[in-house]
Amino acid sequence: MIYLDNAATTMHKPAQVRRAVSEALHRGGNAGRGGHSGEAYSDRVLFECRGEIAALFGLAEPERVVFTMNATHALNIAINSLVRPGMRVLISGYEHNAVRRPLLAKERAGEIEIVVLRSPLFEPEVFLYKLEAELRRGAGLVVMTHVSNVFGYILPVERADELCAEHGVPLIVDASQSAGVLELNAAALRATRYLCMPGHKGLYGPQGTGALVCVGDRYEEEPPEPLMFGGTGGDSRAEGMPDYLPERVEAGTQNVHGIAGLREGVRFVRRTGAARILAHEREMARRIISGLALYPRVRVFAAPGLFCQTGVLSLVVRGVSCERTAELLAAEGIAVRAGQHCAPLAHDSAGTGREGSVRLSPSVFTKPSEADAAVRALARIAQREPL
Amino acid sequence: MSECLITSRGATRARAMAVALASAGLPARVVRPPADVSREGCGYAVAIAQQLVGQAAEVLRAAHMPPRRIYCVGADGRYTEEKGYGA
Repeated sequence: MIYLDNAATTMHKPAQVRRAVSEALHRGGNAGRGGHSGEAYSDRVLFECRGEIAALFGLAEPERVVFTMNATHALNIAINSLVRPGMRVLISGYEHNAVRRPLLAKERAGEIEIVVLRSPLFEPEVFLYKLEAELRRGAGLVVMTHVSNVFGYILPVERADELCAEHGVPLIVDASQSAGVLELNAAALRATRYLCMPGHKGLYGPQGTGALVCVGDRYEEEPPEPLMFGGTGGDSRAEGMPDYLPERVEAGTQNVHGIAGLREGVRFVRRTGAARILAHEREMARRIISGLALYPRVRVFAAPGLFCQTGVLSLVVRGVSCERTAELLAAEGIAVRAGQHCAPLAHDSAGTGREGSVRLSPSVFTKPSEADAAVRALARIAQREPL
Repeated sequence: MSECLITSRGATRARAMAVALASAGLPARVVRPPADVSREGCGYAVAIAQQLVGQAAEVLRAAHMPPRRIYCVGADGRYTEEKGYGA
């Protein structure tokens, strides 16, 4: 299979990730639940993985890293921790349902007002203009994605952070598509309180892993609120959840097997370098864009020179539904994703609406020959499918 | 060799304390302390040789992880809280 669905999950993992999961399955006790060598092994795995993730974002303290099931879980904790009744919450027009739905649930309960900052695709200056205008009107929280999962559009998170800091408004960043691909120095951010990410995409860990990274100076005084309550392996006679991180928001047994793999995935990313990974993925995207330029029936959504875009590409073949295009590609052994990508806001903002798009997303393991094969297959669809 | 226990607020902090102490050349290990040390039950601590405990407290303060409480083994074999290290 030619796998171009890495924005959904990086299916091909580094060998050390697979080995680490296997080792943890053999050696891992329940972290924090015992005093034996199996427990100590798992405790060490968790601690080392926290340290790797913190370091990836320029942070020193492993305690800032809370393990979650996925990015959605992390976003729910972050949103639940910062949203207050009566708040006006600003979100970008490129948010995934992992942001949209938890906020909509609160809006429908009459608790908050959501303001969607609609802006055209690949127009970061327009987004910033709208953000500043709405911050001036008053807001209690901003939630924004770093990179659109549909279009690979890089939103200007650092500049948004500055604007939020000037207005004293906290920021939650959905780093689902940027973690491991874009460098981000969280220590330099002033308004960002949380980075939320999956472990199984750009960090090359197993599915079922994710992280909430607590940013800023006040992470200990104002820790996130628990979404789940239960055992943490410590302070067992206390009636409430601990007031310290990360245990405060980590009720129940940890996914040590997955986290062992995630630790190696993050180590792989740090050794390789996010900049190199991004450069490779963009190179694959450029091959696809230039190859498809000969076929006017194929519309590729690409920023000029990919100046604000990762290697994630969306496209549509005129007269062929996205689902049909993906089906034809799958028949040729090419895996992509078609439809709404759980991000109807992004499709509405970009004008692809209910039809959606076909998304091609390479990883560091994608070969040039695979990108070329995708071009040839799409060219055949454009030439042969009836209009 | 007599040991002291420097209590920690959780497993992650205990590991971080042990790493900071090891980096300073002070051998320490993460342990689960007995009930008379762990006030809320099922606590965490780092164990360190008694003659190093003063240095350890300094290292942890410098690393922004000030010790919560320090317990050392008394003549009766029981842990008693040491107040002399500014914990």
